[in-house]
Parts: sequence; C-alpha cells; structure tokens
Amino acid sequence: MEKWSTVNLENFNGPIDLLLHLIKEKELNILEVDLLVLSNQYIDYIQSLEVLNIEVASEYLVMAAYLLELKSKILIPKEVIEFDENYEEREREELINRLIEYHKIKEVTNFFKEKQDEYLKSFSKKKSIIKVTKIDDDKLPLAKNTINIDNFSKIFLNAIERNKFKNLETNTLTTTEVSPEELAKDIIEYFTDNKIKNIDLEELINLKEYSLKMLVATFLAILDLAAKKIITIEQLEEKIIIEVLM
Amino acid sequence: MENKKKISLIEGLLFINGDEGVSLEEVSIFLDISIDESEELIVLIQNKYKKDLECGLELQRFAKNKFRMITKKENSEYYIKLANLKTESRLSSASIEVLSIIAYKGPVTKADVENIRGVNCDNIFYKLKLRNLISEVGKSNDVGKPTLYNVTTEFLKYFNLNSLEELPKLKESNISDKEIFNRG
Repeated sequence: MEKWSTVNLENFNGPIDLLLHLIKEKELNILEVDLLVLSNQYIDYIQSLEVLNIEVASEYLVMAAYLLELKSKILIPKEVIEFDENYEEREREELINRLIEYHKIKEVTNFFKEKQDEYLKSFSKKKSIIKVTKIDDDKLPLAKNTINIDNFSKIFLNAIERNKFKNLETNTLTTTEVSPEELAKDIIEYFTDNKIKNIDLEELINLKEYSLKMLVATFLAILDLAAKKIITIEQLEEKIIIEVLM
Repeated sequence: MENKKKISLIEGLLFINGDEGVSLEEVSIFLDISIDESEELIVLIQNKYKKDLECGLELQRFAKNKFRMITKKENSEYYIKLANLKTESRLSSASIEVLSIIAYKGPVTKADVENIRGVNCDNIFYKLKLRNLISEVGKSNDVGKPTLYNVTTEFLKYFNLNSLEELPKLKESNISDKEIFNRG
C-alpha cells in the first residue's frame, strides 16, 4: 500500500478509462466480464505502478475501493446476502453501463482530435479595433455627468468612518441579508412616503443605522437607480442631491 | 452599388473581423442586401481564394452561416517555423473527452460528465470556459440547481463544424449488442 504514495497514471484519463483498457487488453467482451477478475486486474495494475501522483490517483483509489466492495459482496456466501440477492446483478449492470457510455465517447474522440489538428493549421488575426476620432463627451449616450465621483464616494467613506466607532460598542453580531434591489425599493418608497422629490445623499444615508454591508448595498442601489434612469444624481457644491424622475 | 464594390467591402469586413468571423446576417445588414445575395457574394470570394494559388488566404465556413479569413492550411508548416508565432496549446485528450460528452449530451451538468468519466472535472471545465468552448446555459431542476453547460459557436469554429448534426453518430447503447467491445 505504501507504494501508492506515488503513482503516475497519465496515460489514462481516469479509472473508467483504465478499466476499459484492461478489458480490451484481455480481449474480453465487456458484457461477459467477470467482475472478480476485473477487480483483481485493476488493483494489481495500480499496485504495480511505482510513481503515483496522489491527486490523479485519488480517483483511481475510489474506483479500487468500489471494486473491492463489489468483490467482497460477491465473495460473501449467497445465503448471507439473501436480503439483497440482486445486489451483484445491479452493481454489475451499473458498472457495465458506465463502461459502455464511456466507451461510446472514447470512440469519437479521434474525430475531435483530427478536427483539432486541422484547426491548428489555420491562422487568423484578432478582430481589428477601429480607431475613430474622439467622440465628444456630450455625444456619448450617457446620463449627464454633473457629479464629482470623488465627492460621491467621500460621502460614503465618511459614513463608514462614523460607523467604525459605533461598531466598537457592539458586542453582538447580527447578520441581515441586504440586497441592493430591496434598498432601491426602500429609497423610492421614502421619496413617495414623504412626498419629496429630492434629498441630500448624506441625509439619506444617515436615515438608517447603517452597517458597512448596508452602505455598500446602498451605494449599489443608488448607482443602479441612476443607471435605470429612475433617479438623477446631481452635485450642488459639496452636496450630492438625489432626485426622483417620476 | 456594383457587385465589385460589394465584394471588396465584404473582403475588407472579413479581414477586419478576423478570428471572430462574419455572419451572413451581418453582411446583409452591412450592405443592405438579402441573406441569399450575401451568401452568393461571400462564396464567390471563398472560391476565388481557393482557385488563386498566389493567394495565401482562404475562408473557413463554420456554424452554418459564419465565415472566417484564415491562412491556407497547406502553408501551415512554414508559418509554424516563425519564432514569434503565438501558440495556443492543443486540448488534452481529457479536455476532448469532456467536450465530446457535452457536445453529445448537452445541456448537461458537471456531475453528469463526471459520472461518465469517473473523474473530477472542475479544472477542465474551468479551462474550457476560459477558452469559450463551453458556456453556462441555465440551471437544472435537480437538487441544488446545478448549472447546465453546452458547447459554443467557438466550439463549432474550433472543430470546423456547421452544426452538432455533423458529429459522427454514437454507437447505440444497446446492452444486447455484444460486439461493440470486441472490435479492438
């Protein structure tokens, strides 16, 4: 067993591949394969290998364990396993079905390999980037950029700073799921409930006891609302004003 | 517009788009002509290239209605000698196995593929997604809603296929067909 510390099975694409190889090598008909013999062959093969790459090998070891389980169940005298006399048949059928499925795929891989070789003989170029003269900002299909994004983020950063101190007093952890979508709804509701059309961003984020998570979600919610043209974000000197468009 | 002009515009478009290829729809929108006319003109260019032995290019048709400008395959050995050629590693046989399973059985989940191969396929799926040969196409209704995968147009291009119908037929999984494993 110690030998399994290093096994190189790179010639095979997995335990099923190895099983298939063993069956073919002995020129056996898969449907008539004796699982006892196959299990022994498989395990002998793995044990005979000197170099084992454990990551690759783990898959093979799982198969070996499975085959051993199968083998031990088959070897138990029949009367003992009365409770499940179809076990061998079912397991056998399942394994054989897997082998057949795998074999079908294995048979067509050459088609793909040949096609690949053909493809690798053709060369083409990357799609060209068409360089045009600079488009004026006001011709870009974007909302008017009237805010200073530094200012916008500064308001959030300030809020985070303030919250840091609050957190120091907290000794219980509560996790609440916040989604930007829900917050976006919240924000719009706030506008309609209070019958206002605009609000100072700083005021808005101070409305609730915000956690860091909340702030990030609020930030995303506001950007999302702006992207969907439900609100506009505008800057008046140092203040950022959010206005509903409806 | 004269046909000559149209052909020259299409040829330029094929060059610009390069690797990505040009679809018949694109040509038809680009020149405001019918799909049929687009196809006629593009096939004309394709034949012209094929016949012209002084020309180093040809057009590959893939995914039914897409065309890509490539160098002639028979010249490849010369280009391969170029030291500065960027090389793309060919797919490993394990990757090809995974791709074949997805091509035949797609949309499938990673677990379906792993079940057939008996090996964990995380890494291969990751690489195939990176190369855009497979893509996520939805969620299965099975427990945990695993992601379903299918092969992409890039896959069709890579294996020079017009559609998955061109794949060789898989042998019937008839368990009574005892011959299938005796052929070598």
